[in-house]
Amino acid sequence: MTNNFPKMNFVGLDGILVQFSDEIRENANSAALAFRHEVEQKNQSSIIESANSLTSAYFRIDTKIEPLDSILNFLNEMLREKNWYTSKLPVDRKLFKIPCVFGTELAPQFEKVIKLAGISRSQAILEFTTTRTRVMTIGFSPGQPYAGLLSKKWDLPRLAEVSKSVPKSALVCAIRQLIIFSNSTPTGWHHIGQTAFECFNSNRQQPILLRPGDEITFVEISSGELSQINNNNADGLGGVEIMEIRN
Amino acid sequence: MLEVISTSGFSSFQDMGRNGFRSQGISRSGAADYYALFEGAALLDQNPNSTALELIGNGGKFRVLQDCMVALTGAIMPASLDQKPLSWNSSHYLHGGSILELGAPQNGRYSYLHLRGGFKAPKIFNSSSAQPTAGIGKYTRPKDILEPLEKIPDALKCQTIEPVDRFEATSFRLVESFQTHLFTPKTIKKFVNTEFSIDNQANRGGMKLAHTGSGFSTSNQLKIISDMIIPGDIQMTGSGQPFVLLSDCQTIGGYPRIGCIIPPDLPAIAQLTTGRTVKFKFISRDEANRIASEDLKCLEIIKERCLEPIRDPQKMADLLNFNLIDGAVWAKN
Repeated sequence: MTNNFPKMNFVGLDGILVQFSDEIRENANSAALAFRHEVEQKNQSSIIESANSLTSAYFRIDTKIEPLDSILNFLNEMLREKNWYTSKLPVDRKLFKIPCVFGTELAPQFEKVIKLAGISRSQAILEFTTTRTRVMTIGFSPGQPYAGLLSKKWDLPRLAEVSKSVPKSALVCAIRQLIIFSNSTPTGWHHIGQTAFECFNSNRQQPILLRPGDEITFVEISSGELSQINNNNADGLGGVEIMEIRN
Repeated sequence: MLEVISTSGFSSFQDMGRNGFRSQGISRSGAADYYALFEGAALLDQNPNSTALELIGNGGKFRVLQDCMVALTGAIMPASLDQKPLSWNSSHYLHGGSILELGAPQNGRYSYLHLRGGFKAPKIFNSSSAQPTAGIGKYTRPKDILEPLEKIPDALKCQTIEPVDRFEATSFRLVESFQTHLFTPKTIKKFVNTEFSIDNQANRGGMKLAHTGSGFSTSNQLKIISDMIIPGDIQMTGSGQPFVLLSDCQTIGGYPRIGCIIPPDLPAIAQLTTGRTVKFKFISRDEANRIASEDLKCLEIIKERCLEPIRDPQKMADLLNFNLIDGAVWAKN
């Protein structure tokens, strides 16, 4: 499978997707981040917007400025320039330590999920509070991180039926990834924790704090401690501790 | 300048949407029916990216605080000024102190109230399009004061516009996208042969397509890696249930997309009301590009669709109430 990557494909009528893998791998994520970054540096006027997903780089193009063939050639040449899979992560990365209630009535799917993963409550919490997951992309809604990769036992499928709604700042998991929801939303992901960290808050000077390459870990708190944080959370920081990561 | 007396809960400011913030998870947003923005801009001789008020549901009631010029486009609403009917797809001069009333839309879902000079609205991430579900901007509420961004003193005649044909569409064109190949040829064939109806589960983010028979799934559907989604995508949820994604759709998602509706067909599908039936057909990328550039040309010359309103005195119930000299009065201010 890997032999077919990287490959280029279309997103609708005006988008090109450069995919580095069809499964989540950290090196494919680094490749996608680096490739998009370097394409951006070239300031092509025919590329009107770019973004990253977990393992691909997206370019929205304007073929009135430059013909499609020529844009594809440009991207192809850049792809051939080097082995993108050995790219370094972005510089100035930060570690976010986010207080979180695991399970309880606030996060009702926790018990079911640890059963599926085949581990105890204390093992699961030890893993979430010691593992540093990497923000692989920001997307879905404003500032929302997709972080991973968790160990293989967390390779759980999403739910076939979307649950009615999980609250803002919920911690959810599926397919070896964690997400903290920017907004209350119906979802097929498993709701395992509840934080008070707002991925997007327009009261802050920087409404969106997380960037791809940053790392997230959790500090276990009780429901009582979460209410205390929520009582004084106009900035939506939710008690987060943010530290520089030295590369 | 207008004051909102009442509006349906989901009316909001919209322009052409935002570009360049997808990497931070910010949706494109913007008017669900961008043709309506172009039509309003043509009627008021201004930029199509001027902020308009997008009305959903029961229209609204507005007090005119100061003389102003407005245009009404999109899905037709019964409109009146001080209880005297106003024509849709037209611009009108409103006197301070009068009451503008807009009723339930008759042939679509999204209607637009435009103000000469554009509405003044905060720009968030370079656009005044509200997406309250994502924490960006807010819905319009009673007592809100709607001011123009610019006061334009020059005279302008009231006009009507022949709207771009889009309210009766039943067939929509798709291009293949990067996940189309995840569906078997058999599933794709079944999809293009199915007649769907617009479900009542519909909003600015997307609309559910109801159908009889089994769903449209791919293999390993629940473990597909999350990737880019764009307005126009037709996504299958876990049970193989299709949804058309619209302007407020999220930036990435894990449900596979069978294809993508071409941009010129998006206003038409967004406007379809519950129960309307639709079918889809795949077209080649070349044909889609040709249609898209024709669409662009049509929008470039949209002013040619404008006509001065025909006011046949024989048909006018109350001649004295008709403002025959809009332009002249407007010029005074």
